[in-house]
Amino acid sequence: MSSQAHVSGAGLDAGARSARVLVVVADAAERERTRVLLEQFGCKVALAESGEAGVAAFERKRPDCVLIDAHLPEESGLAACARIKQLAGESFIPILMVAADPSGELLVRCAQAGADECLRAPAPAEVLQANVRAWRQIGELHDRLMRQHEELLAYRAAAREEQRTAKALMHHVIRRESYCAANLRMLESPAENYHGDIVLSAWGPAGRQHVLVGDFTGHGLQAALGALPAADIFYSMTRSGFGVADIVRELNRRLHSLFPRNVFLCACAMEIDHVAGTIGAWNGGLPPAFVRDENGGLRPIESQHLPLGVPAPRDFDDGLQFLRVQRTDRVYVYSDGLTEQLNSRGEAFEEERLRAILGGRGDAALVFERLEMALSAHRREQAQGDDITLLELRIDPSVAPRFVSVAQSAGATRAPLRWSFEVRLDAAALRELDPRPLLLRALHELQGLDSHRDALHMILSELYNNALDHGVLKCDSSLKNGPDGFEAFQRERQRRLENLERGSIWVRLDHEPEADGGVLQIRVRDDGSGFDPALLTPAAASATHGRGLALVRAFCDSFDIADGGRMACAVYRWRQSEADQRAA
Amino acid sequence: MNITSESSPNGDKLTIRVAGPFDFKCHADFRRAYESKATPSRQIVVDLGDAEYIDSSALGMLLLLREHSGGANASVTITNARPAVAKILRVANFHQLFALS
Repeated sequence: MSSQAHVSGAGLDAGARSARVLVVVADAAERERTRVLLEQFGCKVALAESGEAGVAAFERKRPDCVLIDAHLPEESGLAACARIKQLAGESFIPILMVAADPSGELLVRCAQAGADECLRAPAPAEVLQANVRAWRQIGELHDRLMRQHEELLAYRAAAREEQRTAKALMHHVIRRESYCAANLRMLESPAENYHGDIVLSAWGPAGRQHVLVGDFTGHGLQAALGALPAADIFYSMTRSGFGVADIVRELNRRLHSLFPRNVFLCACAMEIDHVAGTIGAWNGGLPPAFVRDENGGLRPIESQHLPLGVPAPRDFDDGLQFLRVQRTDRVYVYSDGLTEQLNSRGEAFEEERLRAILGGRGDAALVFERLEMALSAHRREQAQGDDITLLELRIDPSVAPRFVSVAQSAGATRAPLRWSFEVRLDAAALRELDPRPLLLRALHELQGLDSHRDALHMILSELYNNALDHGVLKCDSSLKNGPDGFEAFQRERQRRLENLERGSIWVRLDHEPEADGGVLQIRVRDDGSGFDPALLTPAAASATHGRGLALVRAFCDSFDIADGGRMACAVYRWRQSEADQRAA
Repeated sequence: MNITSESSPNGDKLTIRVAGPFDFKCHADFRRAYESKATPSRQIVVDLGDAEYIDSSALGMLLLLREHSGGANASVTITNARPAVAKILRVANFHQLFALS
């Protein structure tokens, strides 16, 4: 409110009245008359009788307004006017000339010297006062505009700095691991300002690939702020062995609690098992991703959920869509910046166009290039409205790190100790939680064994899934046969798990030290009806199922099924490496 | 940016109309459209018939409106969305939170 009062007419008038005016007039009587008139008007007046004295007084006093006699002796009024204008520099100091005979030619020369007004001398009181007031008002307006202009420049500089920070954050933190995977290709075309696209990818302990493509609301630092905890959760949970369903649930919980309701993350997250040929996908708010087969057939992964951060944690739905994939398939995930990119006629690129290019026959290896070319032809010189992100993921069993740990620090393994750890889950617990991260954590805390983590995760997962799927849920693996078999199996498994009333699983880890390492026994028992261990022969393992336990056998020193198929017992023997021994 | 609002005579129903692009520039106007009402209306209708375009910050504004009107107990209806706008609402699965008609 106070600033409004300041700009009102009364305020400006008060400002004009208290203006400091420098009067440069040679004639003593006229000088005196002007002083009296201006002082009556409320101005503070400084006097000078020559051009030189006027310039000196201007430098000393920096008045708000200057009145100069055009016909000064020695240095002329016009020359003084020009010098004062020059001294005033960026600030606007109105200069009023007074001339006995303001002829056309003089008016032109006054204007050329930088004078703002030329009055006929002797100027009557009201003309003098009205002009000082009017010019002082313009001067104040100019000052205010200049201040605002400087503020704007400062804001813009700060905003640019924030953008730089946001971009640097995105570059170093969010995308740090994205380029590690040889089967990913990315078209990233960030808009001039960061608009909130993120791409995360990492390998889980059992050789599953996790990928998340996301688009945050907002831009700049706001988007970067949300992306930071999201990336953190994604990477740490992936490393700890959690699946994508648990990860998106935690992402939603964290974003929901951290941010106001209008900040959320549209995302498509996937877990890809290249060896088994399966994808579990969760899409909330991102355009449909596409799985392309070698003939150009497309299967969409539609958005089925609200974006992350929108639903309250208790309403969150972590249901995944499951798809079977083959090694010739490729998956395309993109943010809406791609399909909404405009051309010079204001037309969007559109999903239909994208589908047509993805679905075209021809070499799968060239689809990405074709898309890139089509987009650049569409865009030409047109400004980019939003971040554009397009990810191509090749299904390729050979790129998965086969239970080989990525980076292990020395000292990850303790000296071998004797210990046991067991956990038992009843039906309610089985419905609610996945014990595998807990078991891995226990292994880590009790014995280290970090360099064996991936193999152990795989063994635990296979044994636990086997006990849950077949022992407790009694799902029939033959469901997996047929083109939609895997999806059908997953749906059935999910349905049975949600309705589970009875059943339990017991897991026990026993560790015994040996001279230069130790023996870990992993036992998993369920209370189901068991199964025929003959299924474990390699000959019985079909293309779609039954390979899991064969894999366990290959990684263990011994592996047995007991109790009519209800108990699995794996023995894993490990040796300390030199690095482990040094650290121990 | 053109946002108008109108209350029914008994104050039960508030209709907010958005014309032109519904994007981040509308933030203040859109919030004013529902926060300025002395008593919150029981039923809110957002008419997007003249909205040419909707971006993610507009989706965020709709979520703020829903929260302001009581979250899960809110009665917020989004009407007349054009196909392109309706598609964006559908991809975001907003039909789970709003009545779309």
